[in-house]
Amino acid sequence: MKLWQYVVRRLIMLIPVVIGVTLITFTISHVIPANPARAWAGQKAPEEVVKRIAEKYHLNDPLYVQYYYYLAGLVKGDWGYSHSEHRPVIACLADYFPATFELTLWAMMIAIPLGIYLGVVSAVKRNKVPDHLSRVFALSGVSMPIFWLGLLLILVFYTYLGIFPASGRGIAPSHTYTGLYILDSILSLDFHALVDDVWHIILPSITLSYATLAVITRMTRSSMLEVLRLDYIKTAKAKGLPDRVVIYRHALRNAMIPTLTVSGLAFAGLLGGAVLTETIFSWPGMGRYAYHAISTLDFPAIMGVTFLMAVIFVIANLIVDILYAYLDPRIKLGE
Amino acid sequence: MNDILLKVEDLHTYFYTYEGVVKAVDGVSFDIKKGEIFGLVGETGCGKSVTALSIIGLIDEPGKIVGGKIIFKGKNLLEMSEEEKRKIRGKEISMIFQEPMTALNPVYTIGDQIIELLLLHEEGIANIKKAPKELKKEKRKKAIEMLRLVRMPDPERTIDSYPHELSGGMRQRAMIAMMLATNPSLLIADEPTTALDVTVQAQILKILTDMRDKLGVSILLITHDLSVIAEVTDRVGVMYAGNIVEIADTFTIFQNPKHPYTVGLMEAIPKITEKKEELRQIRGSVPNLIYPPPGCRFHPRCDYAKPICKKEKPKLIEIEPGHFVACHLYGGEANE
Repeated sequence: MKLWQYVVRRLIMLIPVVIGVTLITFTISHVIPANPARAWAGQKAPEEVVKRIAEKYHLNDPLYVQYYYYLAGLVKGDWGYSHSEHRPVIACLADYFPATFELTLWAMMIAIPLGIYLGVVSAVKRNKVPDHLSRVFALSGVSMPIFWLGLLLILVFYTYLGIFPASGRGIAPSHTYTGLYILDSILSLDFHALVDDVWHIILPSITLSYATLAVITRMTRSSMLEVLRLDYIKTAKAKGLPDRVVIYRHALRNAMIPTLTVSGLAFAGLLGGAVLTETIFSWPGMGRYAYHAISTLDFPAIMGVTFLMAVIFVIANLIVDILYAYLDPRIKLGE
Repeated sequence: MNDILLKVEDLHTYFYTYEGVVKAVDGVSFDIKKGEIFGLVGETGCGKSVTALSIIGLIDEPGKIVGGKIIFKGKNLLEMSEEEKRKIRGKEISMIFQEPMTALNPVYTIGDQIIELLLLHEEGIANIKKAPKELKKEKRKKAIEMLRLVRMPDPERTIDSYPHELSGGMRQRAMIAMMLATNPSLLIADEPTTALDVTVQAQILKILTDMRDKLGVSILLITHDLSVIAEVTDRVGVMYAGNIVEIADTFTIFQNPKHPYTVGLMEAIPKITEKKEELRQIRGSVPNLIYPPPGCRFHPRCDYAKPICKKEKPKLIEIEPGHFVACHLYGGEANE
C-alpha cells in the first residue's frame, strides 16, 4: 500500500470518530441541569429575551433536532455563537488556536531534542553521575506541579531578575499570515516584534515543556537501555564504529518508537490542555478559552474546542503511525 | 614462528559482580596460525565467548581483562589505545555471532550495513549519510560481490532487503559477507551455527571453510558442538571452567585425547556403531567460577585425581609435538 493511500484511508476513518465525538460532546453539554439561554442573556434579562434566545438557538426543540442543526452548522463552518466572547466560535478558535499551537510547538522543540539527549546520556552513562543528575531532573519534572514551576520562573526571571516578561504574547507582527506570532514576524520582516515575541514565549514554553521533557527522558532512557543490550549493538561495535555512531545511528533509531508515541500524545495533549500555563502567563490560547467557556456555560464554545481537540488527537496519531513506519521497516502500514 | 597470526598468552578476564569476582577466563593461552581454523570447544559458561570478546576488545562492564597478552601480528592488543583497537575491529579482526536473527540491525538494509563497514574502514567515513553517492555505489558493488561469494541467492535483490525479510541462514550469510568484506586476517565465529537448522548449519560451515580457502582468513571457531569441530577445524583447544585443558590438531583430539575431561567429552558422543545401554556422561557439574576448585579445576569430577590435583594448578605442557595438555597425569612424568 502506498503512503498516500494509507493517509487517505485513515482520513476517511476519521469521519466516524469525529461523529462519535460530536455525539458525546453534544450529549454532555446538554445534560447539564442549567438553562443556557438564561446564562447567555444574563441574570437580569427579561423573560421575553430569554425566550427569544432559546428560540433562536433551537433550545426548545428535541435534542435530535438540535443535534441536526449542530452538525449542519459544523459542516458549513458555522460552529455556533460564542456567548462569552460575543462572536462566532470559529473566529475565537482562529484567534486562540494559533497562540496555543505556537506555545506547544516551542515547548515540544525544547522537550523532544533535550529529552532524547538526556535519555541517551542517561542510558549510556548508566549509574554514573550524568545518569543520576538526569534522573533527578526527570523525576522533579514529572512530580513538580506545573503552576508552581510557572510561578517560580516568573518570580526569578521577571520579578527578581527582570529578564523575561511574564504575561501575554508580545507585540503582534505587522502582518498576519499564520497567526503564529514568531513565524509571522519573520515573514513580515518585523524584527522588533520578533525579539519581543521570542522574549515572551520563553518562560511559558519552558514551563509547559518540563513535564513532557521529563517523560521523554525517562522513556528514552529505558528503551535505550533495552536496545543497548541487544546483539546488533555488539555487531556495530565489532565493526569498529565509533561510539557516537553506535549510539545514535544503531541504537537510538531502534529506541525511538516508545519515545515517539509519548511525544505524539504529549503534543496533542498540550495543544488542548495548557490551561494552567496559559492562565499563569495570561497566554491567550485555547486552554484559557475552554476554561472560560466552561465556567460561563458557553456550550457552542465547549463543543467547538472539544471537536477541534478530537481532530488534533486523531491527526497526531496518524502522524505518529506514519513515523513508526519510517523508523522501523518491520512496521507495514495498513496491514 | 612467522606464520602465527594471533597469540593469546595467559589471558585473565574477570567479571566484578555483586556476588564476587567471576574468573571467567583464568590463564588461557593458545595461538592461531595464518589461514587456520582453530576451534575452541567447551561447555556453556566455560569462558569461550569471553575469550573471543577479549580478543576483539568488546568486554563490557563489569568485565575486565586483568592480565595476559593478546599479540596480533606482533603487537599486543591490550596495550593499544581504544582508538587503535577500534581501527583493527571490523578491519583486521571481525566477529560473527550466534543469533543471526538479532545480530543485524533491523532498521537498516543488509546493503547499508555492509556499505557502512566498507566506508568506515576503506574511506574513513563513519557516517554513511555523509558519503558521496559514487563512493556508495562503488561500495555497493563490492557488497554485492561479497554476498555472491557467500552464495546468497539473488544478491542484487537481497542487498536491499531488511534482515526480517531473510531466513536465519541467509542472515548468517549476510553477517559473514559483511564481516569478511574488509578482508580481515582473523574472523571470530562465536557459535555461528548453533541457532540454525542442521542442513543450514552444514551450508554455513562450508561457506566458512570456503572463505578460508579463497580469502586466506584465519578463523577462531567457538562451539560446544563436537561435530562442528570435527567437520571444519584444523586444530582444537578444549576449554574447561576458564582454562584451556588440551590443545591438539583435530584428528589427535578425537583419536587420542589425553586430558580426562577431553576423554569424557569424546566418550559422551553417542556412536551409532556401538551398542550401549546408557549414554556416558561426565559426573558432577560445572564449577562456580566465583569460587573455583583449587588446583586443577576439573579434579572434583576427575576419576584419576591425585592429591596434587587439589593443590597445584597444572601447566599446559607439550607432551608430543603440537599436543598440549594441562594435567598432572602427564605433567608429573614430564617433570621427572
